Amino acid sequence: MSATGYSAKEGKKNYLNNGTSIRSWLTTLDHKRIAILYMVGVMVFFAIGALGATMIRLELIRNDGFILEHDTYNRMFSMHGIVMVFFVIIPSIPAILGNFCIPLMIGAKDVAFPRLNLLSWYMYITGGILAAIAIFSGGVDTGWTFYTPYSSQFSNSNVSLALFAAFFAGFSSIFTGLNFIVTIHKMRAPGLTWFRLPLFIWAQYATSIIMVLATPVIAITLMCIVVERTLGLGIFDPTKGGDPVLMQHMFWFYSHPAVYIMIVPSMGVISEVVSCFSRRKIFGYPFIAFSSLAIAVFGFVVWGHHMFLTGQSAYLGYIFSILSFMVAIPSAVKVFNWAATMYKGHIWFTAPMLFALGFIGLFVVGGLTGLFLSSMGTDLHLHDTYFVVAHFHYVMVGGSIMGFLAGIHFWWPKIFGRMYPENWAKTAAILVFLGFNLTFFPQFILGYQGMPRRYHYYSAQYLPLNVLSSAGASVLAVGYIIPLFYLIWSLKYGRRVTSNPWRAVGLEWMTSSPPPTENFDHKPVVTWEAYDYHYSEIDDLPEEPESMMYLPEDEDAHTHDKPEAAVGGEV
Amino acid sequence: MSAEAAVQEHAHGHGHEPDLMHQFDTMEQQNDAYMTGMWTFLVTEIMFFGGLFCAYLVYRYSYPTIFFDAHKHLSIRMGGLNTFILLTSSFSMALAVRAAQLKSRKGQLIWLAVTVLFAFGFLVVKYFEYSAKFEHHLVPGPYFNYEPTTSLVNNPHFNGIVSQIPGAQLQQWAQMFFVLYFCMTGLHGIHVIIGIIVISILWWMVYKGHPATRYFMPIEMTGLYWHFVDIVWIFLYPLFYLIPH
Amino acid sequence: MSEEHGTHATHEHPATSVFTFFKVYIALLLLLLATIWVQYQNFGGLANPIAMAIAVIKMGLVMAIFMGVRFGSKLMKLWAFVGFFFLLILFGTLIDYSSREWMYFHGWSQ
Repeated sequence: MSATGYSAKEGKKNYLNNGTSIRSWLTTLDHKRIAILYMVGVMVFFAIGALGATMIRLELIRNDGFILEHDTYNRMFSMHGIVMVFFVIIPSIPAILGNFCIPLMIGAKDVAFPRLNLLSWYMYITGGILAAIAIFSGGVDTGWTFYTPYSSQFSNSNVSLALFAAFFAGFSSIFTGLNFIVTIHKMRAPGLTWFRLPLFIWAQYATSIIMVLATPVIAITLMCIVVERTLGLGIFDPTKGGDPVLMQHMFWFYSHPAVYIMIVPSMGVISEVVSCFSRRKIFGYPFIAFSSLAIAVFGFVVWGHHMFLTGQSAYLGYIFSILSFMVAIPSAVKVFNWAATMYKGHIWFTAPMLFALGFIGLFVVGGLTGLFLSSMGTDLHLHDTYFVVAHFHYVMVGGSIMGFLAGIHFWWPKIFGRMYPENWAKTAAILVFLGFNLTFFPQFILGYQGMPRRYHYYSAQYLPLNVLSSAGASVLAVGYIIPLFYLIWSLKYGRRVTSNPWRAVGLEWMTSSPPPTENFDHKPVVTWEAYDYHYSEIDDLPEEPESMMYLPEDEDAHTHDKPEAAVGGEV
Repeated sequence: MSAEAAVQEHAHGHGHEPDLMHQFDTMEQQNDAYMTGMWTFLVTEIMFFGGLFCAYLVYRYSYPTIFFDAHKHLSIRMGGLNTFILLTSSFSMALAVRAAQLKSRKGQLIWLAVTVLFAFGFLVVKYFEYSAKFEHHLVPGPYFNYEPTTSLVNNPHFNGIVSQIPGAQLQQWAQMFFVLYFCMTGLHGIHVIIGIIVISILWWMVYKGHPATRYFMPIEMTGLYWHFVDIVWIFLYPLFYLIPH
Repeated sequence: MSEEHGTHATHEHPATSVFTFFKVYIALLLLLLATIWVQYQNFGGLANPIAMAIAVIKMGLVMAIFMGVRFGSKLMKLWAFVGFFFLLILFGTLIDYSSREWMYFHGWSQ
């Protein structure tokens, strides 16, 4: 299994220079190009969501609401939530890295339904445009949860538009999930059995199951709210015999599993990165694989822990509380396995590895504080405070976004054939980790002291910690902006890489970087186990890793313009 | 576009199987992928309807008496007729798929046409049912005005219960029955309309001898969808028209 | 090839005979009559479970014969099952409504 067998063919036709017009991108059926289309979309929405976050943190520097009106503040945090959840985190890893990597990792030419894949991007963009219209023509003030009866009767903002936006984004993720399930089942290369699959694929499979099973429920729930707003059919309206708590049940039946849509793919990325940069076979492969599925299934039976204080039956609350504790088991299994993989490994501190280590640290904090919230007694005190805000940011931002950054750096040379600047990336990884903790750790204390979420007038005793949090947010912002610049810079000026700069195993590293349109020149046949890293290989590693990572400079010179013209046509 | 299209064309024309998409290796793999994909889609459809079924379950549990009374405003005969119509169209759809498997063009044309005709019949019956609701002020909204049936008022079993429910609540709870009725049968009706459109296009393609219809998978998948629509109605009928005492 | 490629039933199964379809169709119509008949009988608390059981049988017939699940791959059968399993989990919402009334804790009455 020589991993560098194709490196001689660098500079040939690849998916980036196969058609450079805008139209060739917008009508493409190539999963790799669709991944890049998603990347552009997600980046735009990340900017919009980050704008909301910036306004929130600026506002909270003082406790007297000195920048925004009450209504505007509500619209800001709603915009931040809706955009970040539905248009950034949920599509980030599955639709970008999953779309790009799954067919490559399983040795397929494409996903099973390329046209459905493109349709899902158009659904996403349609939803995104609706969301943008809703935001910039007055905004939405319900929070991302759209709780009735506020969203259905009292809010005078653009709720219906935002609901349709989330509806379209939901169908986009259903189509993506459907495609992945069929692809993983039916398109694997000969010899690639289930237990030879990379753990990223297992994680994506578990995620796709959640997407396919849970998302339709929120779609119909949101439609019920639209019907209630427009036609006055009060399914959740207490003045018409309805029950708002039912809406919360149906909402969280999706939205709790959705938390696992956000975190499980990230865990898959971490399994890849940790194993590669520790140069060791992953520890406890079947445990990690099945823990992904276990999280997916358990995730469906814990939704009520968001509703301990809504008048839900206390008996059901017990059950939800116990089941919520049980989700900690598969999550912990993963963390222990990553730690065991690194133990006595030959750790190579590249930027992806730093992001992955950051992920593990932040995810552990986020996960453990989740246990506080899933016990009913503690939740009584912490419900709807900044403790909850800090908890889910640790999981979603510290978990998902860190995992996404780890993955995007890990596969960046494969996606564009060029390396990002390593030192800048390491700086960014450290800044993100420090800035993140500085932003959100104070919020745990704030929440514990009783500061409620979604308020911008608050008592002066919370002032110092809020200022600290805002200061941390500015560091975090720098940590996110740096990668944006150097990644775009590297599209043109990054050093051209070999097919396998990390000396990683896995089929995606056995084709050229960037891959050709049909992914592989010859149909791969898999005869080896997953994560076939050998500790003894370390001796084979050249002193200077440069030579295995980069193409020689002269070749760089004469293949210079081709891929870049393609990139220029799209970005 | 052109370069990529050329690559795809090349890949299409490349194999000896004309219907094989470029990303698959064999027809068998492609058929399997389509079937798995369609079933996965049906699972999402189950969950999509599932949200409304869940709401129905909760409200019927909460207001059992009123739901029993309100269901008497629906016609068992009309609903039964519609069930008969949908079962028949499902039967003819199964025969259409069979004809596609046996590559019988005539069979496909006949049975697809029968399916569409019965689907239209379903919508016609639904139209009469809906318009009756408008006449009797049973459409939720400002004009909703529910009158309990005399059998409920006179029934010794329920007599006490109804007198305990204040008038406003009785109106709200009955309205909830009709909200669910319109939402669920409406969503089902939308699925029927989509089915009619898809089957009609398919009929036209078979009639014109479109190359896509050489391949039996499109009609097979449409068939699965149509049977799913039938199954939803199989549950809607007893849940709305046949609420027992 | 991966495992399923080897073990699954191909889709090119022998076409079901018209007579089988017709028998299923007649059975479905009989079940329709049965469910209406049940409505007019006085089964008390059993009436609802019976009506639902009949609906489930009808669904089973449509799925097994009309939709061809009996010839389908294991994966197809699994999916058909998974859909209903998760639907049941969603219906678990009803536990909330049915157990709210049980609640009585000392000290909560005031």
